[in-house]
Amino acid sequence: MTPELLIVASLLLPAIGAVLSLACRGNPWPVMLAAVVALALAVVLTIKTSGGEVYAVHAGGWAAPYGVVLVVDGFSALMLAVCQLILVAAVVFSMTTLPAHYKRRHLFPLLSTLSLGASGAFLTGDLFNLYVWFEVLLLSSFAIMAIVPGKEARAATWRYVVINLVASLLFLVAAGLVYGKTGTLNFADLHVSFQENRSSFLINSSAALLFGAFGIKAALVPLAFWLPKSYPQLPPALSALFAALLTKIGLYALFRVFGMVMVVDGSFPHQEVLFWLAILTMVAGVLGAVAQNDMRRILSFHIISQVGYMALALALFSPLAMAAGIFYLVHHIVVKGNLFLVTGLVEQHAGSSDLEKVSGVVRSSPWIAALFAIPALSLAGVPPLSGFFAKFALLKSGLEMQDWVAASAIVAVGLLTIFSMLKIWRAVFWGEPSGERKAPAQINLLTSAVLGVVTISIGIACGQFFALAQTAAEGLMNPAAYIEAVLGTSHSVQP
Amino acid sequence: MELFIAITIGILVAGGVYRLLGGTKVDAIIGLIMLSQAANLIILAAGGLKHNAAALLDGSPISEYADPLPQALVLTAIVIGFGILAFLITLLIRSSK
Repeated sequence: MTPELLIVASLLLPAIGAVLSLACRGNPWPVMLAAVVALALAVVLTIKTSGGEVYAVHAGGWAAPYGVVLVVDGFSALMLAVCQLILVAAVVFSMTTLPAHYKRRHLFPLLSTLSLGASGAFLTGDLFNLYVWFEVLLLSSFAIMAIVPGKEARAATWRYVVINLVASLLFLVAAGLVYGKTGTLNFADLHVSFQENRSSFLINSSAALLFGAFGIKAALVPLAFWLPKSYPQLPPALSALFAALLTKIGLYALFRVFGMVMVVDGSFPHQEVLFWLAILTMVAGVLGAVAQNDMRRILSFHIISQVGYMALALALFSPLAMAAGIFYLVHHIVVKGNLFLVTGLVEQHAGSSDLEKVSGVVRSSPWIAALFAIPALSLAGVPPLSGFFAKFALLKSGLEMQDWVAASAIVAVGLLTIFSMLKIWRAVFWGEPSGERKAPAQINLLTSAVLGVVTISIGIACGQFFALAQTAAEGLMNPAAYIEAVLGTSHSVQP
Repeated sequence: MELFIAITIGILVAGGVYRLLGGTKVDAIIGLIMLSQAANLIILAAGGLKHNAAALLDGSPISEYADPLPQALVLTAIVIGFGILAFLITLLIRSSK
């Protein structure tokens, strides 16, 4: 298959999966099948783009700044692959752990449209289509949250919907203003036009709106308080998917738009603000996590803290830091998804994930404990696992730039992360088992184990994975290949 | 014309934010509707307003066109906004049951 065909196929598969699943009364298998095939295609795309190649599909044959383009480069291929991986795992868990209520309300077609929105957001080559794909993604996530029964869940859904709609409106206004000022919405064309007239008037106001929009979606700290209120209401199988997909797509958009499109002379608008917000996010998130008493809540606060790490990588904006940020994104999606899934295992096993109600899981089920230990240690950054290399690369880039604030925040927040993971470990896994214990389904253990193996192998084969991240970062910081693939050879940018 | 649109946008945003912070769910919905109308107007105005100009005319000079793209964008935004409004109202009805 040519790469162009692969791009179209990875966009069509989730759509087909959703329609088939809807036709079969919400049957999960079409969704599963589509996700597995899309995962395979995304891996192929990752291999094809591993040398820095960029492929573009010009929809309808319209030339680039006028028509709609779908573009795949190293970064988007990597993101596609990990997101499909988590989708497969989440579908397995949803099939086995969720009550029939969810299937009756058509959870599985919605999961497929969620994946459609995510794939579209990764593949699109212009700002307005990014907005449209965000809406596809958001509406699916709204509908999924609305399925969750209970009064608290409903209040959480409402909060989540309203804050995300406000973010979308900011995004929409920003896209409109960008078009008014530059006459284009195409990423490559925008980059070229920002290079040509280096006036900050063109960028700054729209950049501030986009910053707000992506900041809310990615959960940067002054804009993040919706997250710990809504995510813990979701059952773990779904919060794994939300944690892995939704906030990370906000980060993807930050990396793509601020790290590539709006870069002029090696910096982007509001870089300083992003730096301090990232530090604040890291610290506030982890302090919030330390204060919680439920696995779901602790993990939700950890999302915020880890988002801070990735935003910090973008704010440092050196080649090493960007590669570290992309590596961190990939590692984080796998690890965070897995931690939520293991929380699901604990709940299935012991009936709760409250730190005060559950204890002694190590004795009653050592497998669950092992499966928790792998992603937890990786999140905290213990050496042979993927998190260590992500943090190490980020720390190294901070030290190279002699940015002592960033470096000390990375180390201190890492220590607090270990502390809060120990808190879960001590309360839930150690001690004497109390109450009745049910054996969790074999297939769930296996799924979580596969994700654990992925975490370990990212750590062991760190060289290869880091090389992929470096290529992706190189493609963002020096988008000549991207521009050539989208606009053709005639548009070369003067450095 | 631009001034009139700008003032309208200002009123819509101010009213929208006020209603959004009003506290009840109906307030929030009305606020979001007003804000999304303001967003639509901003896009339309950002693309340049023209009096009595068609989007596409054969053979006339380019200065007489109204830019069709903002119109297409606004149309998309209106459709999306309408879908979201339908969802919000459904959510409101279900959550008040």
